Amino acid sequence: MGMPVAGEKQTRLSRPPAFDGAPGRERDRARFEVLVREHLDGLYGAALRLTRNRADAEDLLQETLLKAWRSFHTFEEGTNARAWLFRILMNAHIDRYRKTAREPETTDVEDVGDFYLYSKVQESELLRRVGDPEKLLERVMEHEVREALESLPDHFRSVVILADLQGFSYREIADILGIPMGTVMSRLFRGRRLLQRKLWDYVRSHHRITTAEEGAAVGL
Amino acid sequence: MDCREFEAKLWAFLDGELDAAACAELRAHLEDCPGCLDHYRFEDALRLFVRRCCQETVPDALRARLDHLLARLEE
Repeated sequence: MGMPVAGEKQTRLSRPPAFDGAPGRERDRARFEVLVREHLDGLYGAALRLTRNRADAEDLLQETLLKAWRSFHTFEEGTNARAWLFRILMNAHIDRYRKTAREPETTDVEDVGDFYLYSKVQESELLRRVGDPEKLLERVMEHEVREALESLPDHFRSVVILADLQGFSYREIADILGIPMGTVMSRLFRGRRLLQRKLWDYVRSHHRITTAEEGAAVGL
Repeated sequence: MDCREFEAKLWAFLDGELDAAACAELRAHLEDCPGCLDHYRFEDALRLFVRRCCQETVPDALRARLDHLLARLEE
């Protein structure tokens, strides 16, 4: 009574999923619907970062659901449903991306070496000035973080999205993208370095760090 | 384990991808090295921050469209 209902979103269902006594296809549909709803926000978030705009993300999500439904009969109960859905999303994205070819495939990405935002911050003595990393990050705007992530080449971005936003394991990511574990790791680490370098640009501008100041503390 | 070795394994450690023996080595290093502990905290905070910034909820209009789509999957 007056208590918040757990799983509020599910109450928007137009009809409740019927598990008992429903004919096979209807039961499948209900099963599918429940599975999809559970992961909808996660899929949408990934679609947004992949496509970089709302209209394309909505199309991609819709396409993913249709494709997933079409191959739902091949999905084995008890296996990793979330990974299965994300694999379909990623494949749909790659298909669309190839078709539109909005940007050339980036094979030659600048090597950023061992870039750590933390080290940059340390070297500039910023951390000492600001106190703790949380405070330092506070001034970076949420939209800047999204921009930074979206600026990564597709190969790196996909892996960072799956690992850092969705929390998939390296093994799961390898299966989702159909690439070896070693490739997952190299793309993830490189992607994180690229992301941190971009964030460093934002941190620097917000905290008014000049190039002269940067690294001033090195050798002290 | 020195700081460079720690740094090389830091992300895999945070990702929960190291075996028990390697984790123990990293934890032992963290107990003795305030600098690496600092770095470790920073990476952890940064990842949470990125995740929080990118959290999305399906907008109502899209949800309605998807409801419609899910209800008509049979056809």
